[in-house]
Amino acid sequence: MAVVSFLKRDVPIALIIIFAIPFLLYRYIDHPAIKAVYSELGFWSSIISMIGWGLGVVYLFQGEYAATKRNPSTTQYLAFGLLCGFSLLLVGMALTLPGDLNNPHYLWVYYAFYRSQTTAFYGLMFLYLCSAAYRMLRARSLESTVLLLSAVIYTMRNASFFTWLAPWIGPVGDWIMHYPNKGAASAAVICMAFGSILIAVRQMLGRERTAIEVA
Amino acid sequence: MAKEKVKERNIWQRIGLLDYRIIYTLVLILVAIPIWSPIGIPLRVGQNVKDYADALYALEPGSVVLCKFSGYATMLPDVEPIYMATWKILLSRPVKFLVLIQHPDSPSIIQYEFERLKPYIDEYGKEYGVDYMFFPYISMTEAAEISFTENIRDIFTEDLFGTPLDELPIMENIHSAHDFDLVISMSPEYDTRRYYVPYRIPLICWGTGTGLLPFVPPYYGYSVLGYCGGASQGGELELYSGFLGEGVKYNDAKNLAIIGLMVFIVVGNIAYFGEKLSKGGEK
Repeated sequence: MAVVSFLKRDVPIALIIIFAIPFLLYRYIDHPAIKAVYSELGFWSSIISMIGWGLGVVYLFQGEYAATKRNPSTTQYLAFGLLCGFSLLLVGMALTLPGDLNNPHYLWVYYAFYRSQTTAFYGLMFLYLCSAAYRMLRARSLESTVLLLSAVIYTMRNASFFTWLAPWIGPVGDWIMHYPNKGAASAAVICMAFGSILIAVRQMLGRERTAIEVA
Repeated sequence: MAKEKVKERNIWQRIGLLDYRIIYTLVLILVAIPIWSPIGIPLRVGQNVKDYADALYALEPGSVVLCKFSGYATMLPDVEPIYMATWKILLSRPVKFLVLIQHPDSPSIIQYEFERLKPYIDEYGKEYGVDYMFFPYISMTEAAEISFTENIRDIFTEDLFGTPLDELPIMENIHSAHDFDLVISMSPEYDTRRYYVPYRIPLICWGTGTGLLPFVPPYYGYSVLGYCGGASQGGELELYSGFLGEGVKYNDAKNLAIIGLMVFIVVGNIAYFGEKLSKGGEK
């Protein structure tokens, strides 16, 4: 039990502190040794990040396999089969075709299939948005009226038909973007910055559960 | 039971509860109209887009621009007009530009885009390795990018095609962020921290309408000289620069889609107030 606790709690905290120190020192002390350590760590952080992509794919297969075992329906088998099929196709293409990612066959799959499919999903968002705006953007209260007016004016500002019809919409839309939105966005950035410091301190003190005891 | 409930609804309730399939169909029809028959709705070029283009046009001959490129399939329809117009402006100017690839899909996309730009590359007499170059993709973490700004060769030794950086003429006098004159960024917050604060390199921002536009105003006028987000502003950039392309074509479809959206919002509110008034009358 003590060993498990040591591995799951103490080792991650120790690693966080060891690697956080050069990053902190780099910000405050201009010394070649610190720069060298920081630079080396920066290089390795990219490598570790890329390994994360690979692990993501492994977890995807693991998750899909577990879901298929748990719920052995035709749809689930089809989903797992498609995942395996496309993975084999892409890996096979990468290994066998010359030109790697720039091979015309790979590019055909990418542009004719993947791009069309992902773009269609992105486009569907607008349909959902129209339906949601129709149901939700109603002047039910003072707050929702302000939201409605801001949303309507800013959206109209983005359509040249409305700015052509009523030129005042352009400056009013810009004002909404550059003043009320700017205030809110600035506040969000400041909150994020303080939040990041807080999370970093909590991680180093071992109080941030998301950084330790990873399953 | 359900049918009885439907029968009980008055006219306002029926208008206020339109089936989503009707909404989807009407919007699809509206967006499809300009594909068959372009309308030619006039475009208004916003100040932020003018500032974006002017920052590129104001570059001195020999200036070095770092373009942080993160093109991937899902967002391309929204942002590709901006990419293409920006590449055309850069190719038409006597400047050098380095493309820092930031997404695993981007190496293919950047090469595909430059294949399509071949007429412009030939027209302006530009050459890969002399006037522009592409870095290979790596996962640019905070630490990696700070190392990159301190010494490019700490992170990259080769370009996207495996040519050593020292063999590329463009890289002869480029060693760190001190040598950049402008950064084209997708994330104003990160790059203000990484490039503007330590090196005073101004930024211009490109990106998707939803991913960039709400977040850039706090930096606009300070670290960000201009910005361009989404296909419609891509159309504005095309119009302003004179390099017409897909963005201008999207303008009609976008306008009709927004007109549809506005009509639905108005109808929804008329139904809401109609229902409220009819309930008041019952009392």
